[in-house]
Amino acid sequence: MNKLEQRMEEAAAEVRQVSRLVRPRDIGATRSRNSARLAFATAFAVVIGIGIIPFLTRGTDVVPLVSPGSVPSTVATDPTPTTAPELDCSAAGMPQAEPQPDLPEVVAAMRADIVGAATACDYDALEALAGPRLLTNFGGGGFESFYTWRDQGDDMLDLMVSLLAMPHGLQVIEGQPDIYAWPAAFTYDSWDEIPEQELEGLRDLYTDEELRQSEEFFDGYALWRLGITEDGDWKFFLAGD
Amino acid sequence: MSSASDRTTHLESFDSFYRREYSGIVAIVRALVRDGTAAEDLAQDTFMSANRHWPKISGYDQPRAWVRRVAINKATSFLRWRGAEWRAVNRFGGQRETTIPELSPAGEEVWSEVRRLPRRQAQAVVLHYVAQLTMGEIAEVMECSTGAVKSHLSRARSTLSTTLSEWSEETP
Repeated sequence: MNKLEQRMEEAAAEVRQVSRLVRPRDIGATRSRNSARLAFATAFAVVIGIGIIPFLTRGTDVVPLVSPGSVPSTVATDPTPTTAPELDCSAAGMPQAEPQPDLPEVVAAMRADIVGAATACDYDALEALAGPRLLTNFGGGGFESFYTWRDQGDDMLDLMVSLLAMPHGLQVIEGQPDIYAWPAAFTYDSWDEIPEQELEGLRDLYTDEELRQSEEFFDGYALWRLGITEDGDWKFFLAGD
Repeated sequence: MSSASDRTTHLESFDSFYRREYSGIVAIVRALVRDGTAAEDLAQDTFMSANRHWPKISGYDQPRAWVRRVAINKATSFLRWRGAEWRAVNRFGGQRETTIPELSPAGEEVWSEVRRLPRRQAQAVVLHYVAQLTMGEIAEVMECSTGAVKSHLSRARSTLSTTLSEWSEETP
């Protein structure tokens, strides 16, 4: 066995050993604990929402960090509100969409509705927004992909909401309705045109390797993106080329 | 339609499955996610998903593969977005304590380097070394070919042989 194999085996044995010391909790207790966690996450999102209102009215794109001292004491001392809905998806508790300039009204409405449905974990509402023509892969997949992703343990809703919080761009294809796309990085002609600020946002969502591969293989952003036509139709949520 | 006794059987089977597989899933997630508290919660979330779908999952040839797949996907999802949310929630809500003991510095360094690998490579490494799965079993969990698994592992080893040896040289 070479040195690397030895180190890996030793490290793996240690992880297995410490994990055996963890006792599985009662699954009922788990539900209660996670409900409390989700409830607190929701409360946290509300606090963030309250905190950004003054910034929204000043037209800034920057979401301010809220210092612990600015959290209302009612939230800090009561992290388990009994009225919070039990939401079970990755986007639960994420902030609602901030208004973005230059979006047609119908596009802005669809964007807000998608974020609202995703953060409410409301698949019925999402499916209604998607309509029959939504593309989720280049094989022609539609909304059913969302159920597949959910069943596989990564429902993608958090990523979708995160993308919709990023700057948008316009994809123009002759003879077809213009498409407003998130992130804007998707709409640049080459990787080099993507502004550093937008790349920085993408680094929060992807590994350096994933971004490097997108640059190397596509000379552009070919990772996950969402598009809404100028008519307000949700056109795609997919990755690849 | 399931009878009450069928449901009871499913619940008992799940309980047995849960207790047998739990520590293995914690180990997989702990290697992929540094935060012990998050690792425990992600493992719990994985089994909550399994519990919800147990009547269906228990009929699979390999329920373990399903649970492992869900676990690594949840770890990925956590790293992609929820890590930030998690840190924020913990900051405001107070850090919960994990019952997973700390790893040694040498062990933590190994997994730190593994987490820096491309996602699929890191998953293959953890499933191979921590879960001790065969190439075929890893392929089933990752839903790819055994050739792809071998490729992921080969590239991962190549990277780790450099990064970990650099670390060894820097550490007295």
